[in-house]
Amino acid sequence: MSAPDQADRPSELSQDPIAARLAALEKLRALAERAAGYLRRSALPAVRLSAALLLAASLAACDRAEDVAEEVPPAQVQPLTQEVATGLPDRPGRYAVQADSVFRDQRGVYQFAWLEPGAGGSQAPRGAYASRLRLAQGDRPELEVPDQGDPVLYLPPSQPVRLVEAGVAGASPTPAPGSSTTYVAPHYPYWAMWYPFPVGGTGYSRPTYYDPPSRTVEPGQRVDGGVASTTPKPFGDRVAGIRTAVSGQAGGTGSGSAVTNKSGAGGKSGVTAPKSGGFSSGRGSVGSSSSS
Amino acid sequence: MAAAPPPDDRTIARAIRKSRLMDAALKKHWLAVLPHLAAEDRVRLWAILVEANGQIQRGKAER
Repeated sequence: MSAPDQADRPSELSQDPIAARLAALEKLRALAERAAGYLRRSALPAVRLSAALLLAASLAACDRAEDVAEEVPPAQVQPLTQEVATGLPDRPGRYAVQADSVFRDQRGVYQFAWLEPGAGGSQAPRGAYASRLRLAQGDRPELEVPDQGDPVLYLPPSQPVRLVEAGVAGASPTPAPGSSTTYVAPHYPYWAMWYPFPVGGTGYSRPTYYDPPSRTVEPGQRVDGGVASTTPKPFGDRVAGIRTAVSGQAGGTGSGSAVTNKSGAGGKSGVTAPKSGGFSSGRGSVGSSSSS
Repeated sequence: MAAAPPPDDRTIARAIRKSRLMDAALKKHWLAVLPHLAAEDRVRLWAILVEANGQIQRGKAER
């Protein structure tokens, strides 16, 4: 009797139970295919039927295991290690924010596009990233940069914050000092809509720090309301993310990527810090930790 | 050296039922085709179940 195939050797994948399970299910699937090849010629209809069902069930089991292996639980996202503030206006004041340009990644970094006052349609919007951003309900999307303290993003009830995976938006060239760069809208394949101030909700009129009400959301899910706090949460507590169930490509053309466990080789870190030169120069820098 | 004889169907069936690798539907279908499998496929199936069970046990021990 022949010995088991060499392919059945003890696997280094045992270090990763998800990958090991997937590998074992793949072997079962291959064996099911092989057996179905001769069982479908059996004289017994019940055997032929069982072979067909076995093959279908084996394929389904592999699909389910792949989905589990490719999920990105927010717990695996590396939290920030320092605050992020890039591309913000360099003067106190109120600035219009482009509708539907507000995103928040799994680490709690917001990104949005704002307009210089009086620019109208003649000037390209400017992109900004900020981890210490307060939210408040307003009549229109607007950014307030106070003389002191963290900026405030005013959002009407109709305006969502899109929860996304990666923290790097679409690429834009590093601008020359003092120049502006056209904001490149980020491209993400998956997001969930977060409405911090839904219609009929008790939106805070006073600016506060907000976080989504749940730590994990599904792509396409609608999330209403939020958890308010007078001070920013610790970095680890700001992680709240979107869970994808398909093979992990992060949104955007940046270097961030979703962590996958499929191969058991650990994958890259889920998010990266945005490049500070990616948008027009303005106030702020990566790593600032202004107090409110 | 003579190869170890493959386990009988009863032993393989017990391994299928106890396996943490498969859900109930997959177990049912493997049990249904088991008596009709070729001898070498019985050996392969046994090897997969043993290895998977070993990995599960190792994974538990490491936690």
